Formats: sequence, structure tokens, C-alpha cells
Amino acid sequence: MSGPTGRQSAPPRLSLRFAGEDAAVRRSLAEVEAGLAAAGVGDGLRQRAQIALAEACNNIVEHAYGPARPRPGPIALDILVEAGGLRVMLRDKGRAMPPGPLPGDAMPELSGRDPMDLPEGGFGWALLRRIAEDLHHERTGDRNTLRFLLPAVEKPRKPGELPRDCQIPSAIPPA
Amino acid sequence: MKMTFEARGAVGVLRVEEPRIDASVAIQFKDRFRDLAGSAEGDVILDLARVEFLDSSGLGAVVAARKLLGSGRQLALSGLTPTVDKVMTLTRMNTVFPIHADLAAALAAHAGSG
Repeated sequence: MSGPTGRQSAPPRLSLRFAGEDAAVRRSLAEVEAGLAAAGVGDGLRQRAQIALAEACNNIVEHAYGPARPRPGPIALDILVEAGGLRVMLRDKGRAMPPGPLPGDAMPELSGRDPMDLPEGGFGWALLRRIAEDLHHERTGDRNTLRFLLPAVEKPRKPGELPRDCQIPSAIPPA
Repeated sequence: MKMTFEARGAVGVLRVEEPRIDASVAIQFKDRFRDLAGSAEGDVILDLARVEFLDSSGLGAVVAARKLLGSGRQLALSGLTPTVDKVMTLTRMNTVFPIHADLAAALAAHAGSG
């Protein structure tokens, strides 16, 4: 660890650019897994990273771009490997999210449900919200930026308890 | 999507021979499951020992697969790898599906109850 005046080599960073479609997300996440393993990131954090990144990318593919677009737009994924965990930034040029709190406040309720009546969706944002901290979404001009931290040490939480919440600010006009 | 089905006594064992069940293969998974297990009878053990990763789309496909069996048949899971186990725990799906450490344990449990 460097002191206040010491200089440290830049922390490892992964930067991936890929198309906002399912097959490209799949390939890129496999690349992230190999890159994080090469950077010495431990099993638990790499597993949580796969889950959080998959859900964040799936949201972009499904909602920011979605089936209506003739071809998928780009996704930029940057991961900074720090002592405290992984700092993630995901950018896309798709639709804006509706203003208000981020979705995924609650995991779909399963208790007492008949197996034939179980929900098949609604888990994506809820999973991301349970794994990521300092989740922050921003709309600037025509792009979305999602930032979050994947902590190196998972903090114990009560069932249903979420990390710090945030609001989606209204769109910021381009400079 | 590579999946195999084998009748083991009264239960069917469906093995997924793919490292990931994610958004890009969720529909294929559902279709293959229907082809392999839909026409058989009895409970099904879905062996996920080879599956390293399952996202929420893959989870939705597993739930849809469960519904394909109808209320008279059960779907049990076996061989959850750490990331798959994490998704099942966080979503609490582990409270809905019978989960066994490995295929041998799942078969033993079904032999006991059958």
C-alpha cells in the first residue's frame, strides 16, 4: 500500500466494447471472468461480478435497446480492480429510463405460491440491487451511464435489506 | 444447446451440458426441456453440475420448465455450482425447488420417496 506521498502503479482495468445483444453479452462476460481471474480477483467476488454484470447488461439489451431497434447499439464496460472491490461503469446509447427510483426494490414474492404460479421474471434488477453498492444511474445527452461498486467483502444484510438507494436524476441536457 | 435425458427408474434425469444458461440460450433451454422431458412421465431431476452460470433469464426458463411438467410432477435440482447456488439463494428459489447436493443424492431421495 502506498502512503500519502507514495506513487502506485495504476490499478488493473478491464475495458470492453461490444454490441448490445445477448450473444455478445455472453462472450464479453466470459472475457470478464478470465480477465478478473488473471488480475487475481477472488472466486466470491468474480461470481458476484458475473451475476451483477449479466443483469446490468441484460437490462440494457432488453430495455435501453430492445427489440424495436433494427440493430443493437454499443455497450461500453469499464471495470477498475481496487482493493475495496470492483468499480464498474456501463454506458449505452439506448432509451432513457423512466425517472424515479431504480427498479428492483423487492425480490418477487415466492412464499406460499403454487409452483404452477411462480413468477418467471422480475428478478434482474432485484439481483443487481442486492449485490451492487453505490448504484448510480445518469442520463447525459443520448447516453445512459450506470455506475456501481461490487465490494470485495460482502456485507451481511438482513433478508430483504438493500444497499444505499438512489434516484434517477432527470435528464441532463448535453453540454 | 446440449442437454441429455435418461430415464432412471421412475424419474427422468435431465443433464445440462453447457457452462451457461443465460439470456442467449433461455428459449433454447425451454424448448429442449419440453422435447426431452415433456412426453416422459414421473418427476424430473435437472442436473446442473456442469452449469457454471445462470442469470435471471435462465432462472425464468427453469421456472417455465417446472410449469411444463404440470402440478402432478416435480422438478428437483442437483449439483448447483457456487454462482448458480448464489442466484437461487438471493431470489429465494431455493425455498421452492427441492435441491440436492449432487445427482446421486437426488436419485437416493427419489428412490426413498417413490
